[in-house]
Amino acid sequence: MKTFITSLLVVFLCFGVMQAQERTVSGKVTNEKGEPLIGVTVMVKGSAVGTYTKSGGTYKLTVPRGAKSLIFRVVGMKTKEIEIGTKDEINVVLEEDVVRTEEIVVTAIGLEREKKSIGYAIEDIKGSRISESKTTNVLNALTGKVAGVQITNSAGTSGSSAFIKIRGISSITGSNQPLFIVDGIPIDNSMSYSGNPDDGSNNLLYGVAYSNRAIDINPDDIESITVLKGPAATALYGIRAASGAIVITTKKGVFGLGEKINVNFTSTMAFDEVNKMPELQTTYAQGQWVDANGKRYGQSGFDINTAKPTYRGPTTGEALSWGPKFSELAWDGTSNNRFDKNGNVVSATDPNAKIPMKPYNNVDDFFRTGTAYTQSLSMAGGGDFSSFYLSLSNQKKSGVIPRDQFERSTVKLTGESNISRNFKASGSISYTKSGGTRIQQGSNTSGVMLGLLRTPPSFDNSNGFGEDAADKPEAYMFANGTQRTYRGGGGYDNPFWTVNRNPFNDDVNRFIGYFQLNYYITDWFDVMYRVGLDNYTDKRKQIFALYSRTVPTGRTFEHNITSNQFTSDLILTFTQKLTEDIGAKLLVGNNLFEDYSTSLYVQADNIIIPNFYHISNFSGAFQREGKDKLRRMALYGDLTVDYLEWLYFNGTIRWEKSTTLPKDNNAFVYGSANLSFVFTDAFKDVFKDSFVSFGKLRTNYAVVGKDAPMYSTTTPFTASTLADGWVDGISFPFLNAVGYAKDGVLGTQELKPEKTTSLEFGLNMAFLDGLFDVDLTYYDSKSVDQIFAVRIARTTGYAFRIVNAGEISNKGFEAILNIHPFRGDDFSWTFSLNFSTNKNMVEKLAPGIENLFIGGFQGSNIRAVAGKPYGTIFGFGFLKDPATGKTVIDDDPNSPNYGYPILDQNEKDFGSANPDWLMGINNTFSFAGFTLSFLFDIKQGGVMWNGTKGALYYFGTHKETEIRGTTKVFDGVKGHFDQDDKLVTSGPNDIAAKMDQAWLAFGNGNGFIGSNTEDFVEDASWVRLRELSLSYQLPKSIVEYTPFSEIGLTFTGRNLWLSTPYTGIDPETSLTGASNAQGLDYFNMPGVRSYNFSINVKF
Amino acid sequence: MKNKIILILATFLLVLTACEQWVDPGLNNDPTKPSDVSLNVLLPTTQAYYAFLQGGDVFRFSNMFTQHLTGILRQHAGIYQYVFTESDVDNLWNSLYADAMQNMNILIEKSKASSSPYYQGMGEVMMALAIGTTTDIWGDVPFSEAFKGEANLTPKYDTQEQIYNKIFELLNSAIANLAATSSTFTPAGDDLIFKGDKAKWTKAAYSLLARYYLHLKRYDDALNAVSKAQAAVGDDFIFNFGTKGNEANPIYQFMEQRGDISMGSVLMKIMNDANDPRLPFYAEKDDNDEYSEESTIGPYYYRSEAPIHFTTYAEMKFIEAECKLAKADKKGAYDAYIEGIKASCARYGVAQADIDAFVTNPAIAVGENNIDLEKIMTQKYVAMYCTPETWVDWRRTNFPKLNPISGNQIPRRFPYAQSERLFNGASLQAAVPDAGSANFIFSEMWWDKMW
Repeated sequence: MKTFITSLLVVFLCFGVMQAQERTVSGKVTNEKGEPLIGVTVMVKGSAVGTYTKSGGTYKLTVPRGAKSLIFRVVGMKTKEIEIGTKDEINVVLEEDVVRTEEIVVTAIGLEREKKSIGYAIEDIKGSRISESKTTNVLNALTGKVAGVQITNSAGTSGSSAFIKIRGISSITGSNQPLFIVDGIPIDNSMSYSGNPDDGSNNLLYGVAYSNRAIDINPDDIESITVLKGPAATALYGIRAASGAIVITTKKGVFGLGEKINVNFTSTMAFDEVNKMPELQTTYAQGQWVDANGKRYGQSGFDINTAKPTYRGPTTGEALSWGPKFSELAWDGTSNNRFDKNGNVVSATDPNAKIPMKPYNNVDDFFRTGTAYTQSLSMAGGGDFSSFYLSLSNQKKSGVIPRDQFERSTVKLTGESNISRNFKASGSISYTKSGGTRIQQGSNTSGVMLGLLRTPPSFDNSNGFGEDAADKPEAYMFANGTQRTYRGGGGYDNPFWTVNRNPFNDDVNRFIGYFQLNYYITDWFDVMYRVGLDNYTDKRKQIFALYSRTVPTGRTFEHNITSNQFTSDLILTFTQKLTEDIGAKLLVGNNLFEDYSTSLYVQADNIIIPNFYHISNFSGAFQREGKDKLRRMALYGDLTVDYLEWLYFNGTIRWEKSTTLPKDNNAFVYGSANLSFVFTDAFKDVFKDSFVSFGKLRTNYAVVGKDAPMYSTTTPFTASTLADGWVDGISFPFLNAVGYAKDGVLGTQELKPEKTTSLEFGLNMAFLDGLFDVDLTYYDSKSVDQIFAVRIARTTGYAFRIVNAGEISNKGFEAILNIHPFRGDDFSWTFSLNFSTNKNMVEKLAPGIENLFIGGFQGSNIRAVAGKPYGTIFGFGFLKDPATGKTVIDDDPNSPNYGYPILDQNEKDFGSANPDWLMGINNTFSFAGFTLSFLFDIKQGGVMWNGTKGALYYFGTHKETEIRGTTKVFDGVKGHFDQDDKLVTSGPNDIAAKMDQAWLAFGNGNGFIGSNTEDFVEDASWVRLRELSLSYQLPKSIVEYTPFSEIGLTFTGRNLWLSTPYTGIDPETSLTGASNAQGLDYFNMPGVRSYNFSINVKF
Repeated sequence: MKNKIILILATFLLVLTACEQWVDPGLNNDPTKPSDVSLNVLLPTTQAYYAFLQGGDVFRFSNMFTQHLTGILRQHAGIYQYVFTESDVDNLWNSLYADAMQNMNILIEKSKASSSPYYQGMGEVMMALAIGTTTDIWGDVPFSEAFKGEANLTPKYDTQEQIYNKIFELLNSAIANLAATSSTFTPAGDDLIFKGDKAKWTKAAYSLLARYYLHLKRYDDALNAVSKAQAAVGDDFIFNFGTKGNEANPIYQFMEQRGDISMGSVLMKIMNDANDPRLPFYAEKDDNDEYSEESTIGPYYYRSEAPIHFTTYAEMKFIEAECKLAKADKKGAYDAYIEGIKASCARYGVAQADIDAFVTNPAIAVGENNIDLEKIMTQKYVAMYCTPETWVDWRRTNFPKLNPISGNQIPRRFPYAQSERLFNGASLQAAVPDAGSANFIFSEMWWDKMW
């Protein structure tokens, strides 16, 4: 590395001092109507020298001698190149680029190219469309706006993560998240979870909703986002971009502004509310069936004939709400029930009955209106030789759950300077501080939704304090510090206890920066060197107070994560006209990359002094340390050849070496080729005056590689630790002894890189002078030789083996349609629609492996299965009669299951979370300073496991358990197994089975202790009004009386309307956050609807 | 100009050369994980791992079947009523093989390689115990071809008879190794069970021989082994857990973190009827101030540092009683029975006066003429609460009499693990063709058929 920097310095010392004779050129830039154009970039070709046109469309530029031509470029107009010759004044008329084909987009490694020359699908989103979405997480602002991109927000809690999927899943167990690039340097977008590291990814099933690190980006800093979808687009990035890339360009200063500085200030106030909750029953109290002898279901001697629903209150520890109806119960009004201010529960006919018993509404008492305040200030300015951009922002968010908080502050400074006519230096540094207080969720006895939804309606979690309960310790805690819960201190945490007593705090400090030098040696050869750094620390602390259900003896853990990514790019660019008609551009580059992350986890158990959460105050502590470092080195080339600017060929090749592959086989080569054919330009005569104003065909083929996960080549020993799926387990050091055990994953030296090949065709056409345009893409990609760990028989002594096998295919179609029915200055209407469908298939896994666990629970989980789409939900369901396909209903009168469906002992597939298709429909109207836009987001197909509902059946709190007491004739055929284990069926079912506790809570009617996944996998399609935004730009006549130059008011609503067949919370949810196991809902945090009001002023 | 360009290109090449070292293959060795380890970090691992597993699913599932426990909530309510699937035993099977026995195997191999017979002997005792527990749960299981990693991804199943022979081989080898005159490496504090006391390990090896001979009705061999096994409560082969969160006893952890079980009605009735002084150690009183199936597990096991019992002096005495009874030595059987009860009470911490009173209680002191298998097995059933051996005893002797919780049969084995069905299915199918059938868990294994 040192040598590298030294040699670089040499280069700049040699060429650093430049002398040249110069002269001045000036002029005016107008459109076809003769109106002046402001903000047009005027660049001397092949140099760093340039300026912008000011008011009146004028410019003045000092050009070095030897400069040949000037390039005039602005968004919405066709770019023009004019020879300077001996002229001192150059006036230019730019033509409108109605179909925006000459717009410059940023492609891989920060290359800027004209849209029409690109042979692959690419979409770019303007920064204004990001900031108007008013989302904390920049990813959420892309939802519904880009074809082929699916974004799933994990929860409605503050700072929660979003999972993004571009053109389907392509890596079986690796990351499927796209590469994030900010101003040419890759940044980390991982989501790290916390919890005892020995529990591995099980930690994803409980804990809190974490952030994906793209949340550290201030959305207001974004100039544009380009989404690179396929391998052809990302081949230059190499292995890290196999799942696509999100290329973010941030705002820069403005050259030539002189003394004026553009100041922009936005203040936003937002309100969030829960948009959807599972329905709960309000008829039955806590309790269950108790027989004449006081025996309960499952106890020996239990007599179902004398049993009846019986109230069993908090002191019994009763978990269930299978008790009597409220109408049969009353409170006695005394003050000696510490669990209820209305007194003890008695029969409604009891002489002491005073107050008729009524259900409490624990859900309404718990959630509140969330608020968010965001201030964002930016300044941009620049003289003839340098420019700057400075921004500050702060967002403070309080979620819909009490104590849930997230705060982010950012500072960013970007500068560019033309050191001399050949040298340009630029750089940027941004600092983000983010984090907050997160709340326990998921499969977790301290999870708020778990405790909240399981609470019987006869128990008041708030203890009479209603919405104020979070601020009243008496609501959730007794004087001796023990917990007030519906199970007498056992079972699950009171949600008000969790939010106050079990906080998780994270504190991220992050720096992202780059420094770049451009050296324009001649007008056909330039050199660029860029070094980038993304560095953060993430300090996390979790507290479990004494008597918390997860750890009744108390626990705290500290988890400190550091991440450091270093990138260096050296790029030589050669541009040359080969003949009059053929132009060529060759780029040769070198890339170095290092990713180094560490984590230190210290967990301390058994608190001694209550409420003092320092590690020293716990009787047991242990540590875990992680260090992950990898490096890659690549050489790459990119050649673009055009013929008369209507036929473009682009080829890339990249040779890469990675430390994660076996030493002797650690380098590999891949590349791409793409072709763009602008047939309307090629056959100008044919299309002249036709209704087709632009047409382009494109195709590409690409191969990209991917290296192995770190440390896959060896099988070392690991500090000993063992858990059993029920409890935390044990770990070493243990009783002062150090213990190591053989790692459970068998590494291998026989690894070759993963490979994804892809073929893509596209057609882009615009009609009637751009009145409407369409863009169609079809792609077919295949990922082979996947490196992943497969489960093997544990009798081999190992749990997993690293293999190099497996194949996933993705085929899909994307369509974009834009219509501009009105394009007037007074009124305009734009309609745009994007549609995408992706067919994903796990073609094969490893030999002998049909089936791979991705995430979830025993019994209901997400898998990759050969011959099925990735992410298929597996679980247990009911036996089907092979003859009729109907469910078999047990007709053995002696069976306890008589009249109910028979459980199939074999696991089944219940579909995947992958949607059939996605559609985003956006309309934007502008009229007299008002702009109204609304975005409908449609997801058709894809299922979700409603594990919450499955569990609430057991607990008897779900609304649908109000069918108790009725009978049901299950649809199916009667049948049973005979003595030889053979299925015997006997016609359509006509047995009326009781819908009661025996089936719904203790039989297979529920999805909790019953092994019934089938009834709880639901269609998670939706249609929603994802965004509605109304903004008003105050007229100049008013603004001129203020100190401001512009004033705008905006209202943005998100998720204002949702229609879905899903019966749980908002089906846009993910228990495991930004991980591959999508489609699980197990006491997930609900989603939110939000209302944002903002004011924007410019100076 | 030309010079500049040449210089730039030359520099570019220079940079490439310099970068060659950038990709250092050594970076791919995880700095947090050693590639090799010494014996003194493997021994404690194997001990703690096995103890944790025996005190986990092994104990809970088997003791629900023997009705020492009641499964009251959630999954345990299902298993208690024999709703017991292949996925329910996955974690246990996986950890027995890939965590406990895998590292015992490495410990044995490494101690052989370094001529450390003391470590080898301890490893062999642990391995005999672990595979013995495993075969008594499932019957035919892989062993001779197990733990070979890539070399054999589908280990075949050995018959239970072969496994028993292997157990005897391991224990005899252990006894010889523990008697070796020297050992390159010698266990001390890293031996979490006996702190390197080879004599106690030898007794433990004999106690296991006694147990497994008894399973095969080899009474003489068993009696011979008992004579060399534990001779006092202080010799008990048990594993003590610690007070820290990561060292906590698995029963304690389960009660704290899940709590879905309570005491069993059968055990509570036997103990209540005899006014057993061990009751306050075994169970907590219920809401009615009684010991009943509503009671939760009591303080002996419900504490972080509680032990897990492997073999005890009390068990040896009950084995002796059973063997002597089978050989028509009623006096010997009765004396051993009384001594077994005393040893058990002492193990749980019952005061000597209470022990003396208890063994004169007519419910216990039945006299040598009235001693029979049911009485011995019933007292052994009480004494060995929270160990899986009681389930073996019930399957062998059918004592104490139990009524099925649901249906008309009580499980006699666990279903095989889902992971075996998925990843070693052919081997499983070849050895145990009926493993997936609905009645499989009620079927008898090899030794069970002898009784």
